[in-house]
Amino acid sequence: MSSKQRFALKRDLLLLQQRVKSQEVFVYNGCMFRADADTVAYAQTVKDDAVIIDINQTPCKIPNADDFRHTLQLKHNEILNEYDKEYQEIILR
Amino acid sequence: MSMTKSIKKSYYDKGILLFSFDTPELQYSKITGKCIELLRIYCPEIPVVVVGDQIIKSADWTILADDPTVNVHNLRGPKPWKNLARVDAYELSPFDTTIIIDSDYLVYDNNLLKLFESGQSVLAHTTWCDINYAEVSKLPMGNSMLDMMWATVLMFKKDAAVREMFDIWRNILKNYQFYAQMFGLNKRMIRNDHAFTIAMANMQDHGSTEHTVIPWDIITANQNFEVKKITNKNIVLQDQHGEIIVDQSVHILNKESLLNAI
Repeated sequence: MSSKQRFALKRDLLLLQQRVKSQEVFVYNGCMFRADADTVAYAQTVKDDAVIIDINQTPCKIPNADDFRHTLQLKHNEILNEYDKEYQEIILR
Repeated sequence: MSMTKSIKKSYYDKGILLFSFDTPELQYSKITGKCIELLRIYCPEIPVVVVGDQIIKSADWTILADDPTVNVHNLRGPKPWKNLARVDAYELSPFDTTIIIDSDYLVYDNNLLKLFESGQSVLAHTTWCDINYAEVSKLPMGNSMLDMMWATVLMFKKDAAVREMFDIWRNILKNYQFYAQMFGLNKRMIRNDHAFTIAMANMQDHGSTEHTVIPWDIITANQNFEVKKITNKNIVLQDQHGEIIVDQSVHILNKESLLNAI
């Protein structure tokens, strides 16, 4: 692989990661959260009416913890599936 | 600046505001037209208002304005740059929640819609992804310790604190030479990014503005990129490393090349 090809690969992967980084952000009750592995794991501890901190350090009340987890998990799966598909396309190019 | 509105003032709770003033070198109105075309696809149902020197037919309405004070863009030789009307956005915007974007910020995703849903009263980018070097970083503002906040995409809600921030921004523009000296900025080219950053810092008594940060990076194609092709699905760029297809929202700094490709 030439240095030009290596740079192109690096750049394509960076752009893909950038897209994932922006797409995984979702808004819940006016607060922004990232649908990443950490948040998915943390969400398992959240109970109804708990207050959690969003990306912008703003407290956010979660009236229905199950609904929050469901929204988060859906977003997380959607993003990872898209990431996997496009990652494979890039490395096989 | 005196204003005449081209249509009756309407009311919406949220919308997008663009500024578009042609210069002898650059037909910004054409770039604005393309920007609106993409907004219609990726942010449907969101009204778009343009503040400019001519009616943009694809906008929901245009606020006709006199040319703002001419600034100088001197990255590749001095060129007139009419970027100083942005500070009037608070007064001009008919929306409760407004997102101002540069007309050379081409939208290829629906991320802007998330900003409307946020409870924050101001949101802007601090980190940028320079696709020329494939790097993500923050820009220091002059010789200060402040990270530059990009005014390229700016969401604000109308309230007293935000009005005060815009007033400070205006005051900084009026006294730019003083602030440029104090922060070690280019005195000949007034940047809204810098004035906005200082205004935001003032509002927080020079404390953290982390709560006002858009939590993803602004993708930027710098002056080294040439725009080869632009469609409603993606934009093809070329630099010294080769071609790249970008299918997410991107800020194009090489406006001449962008205009040629439209």
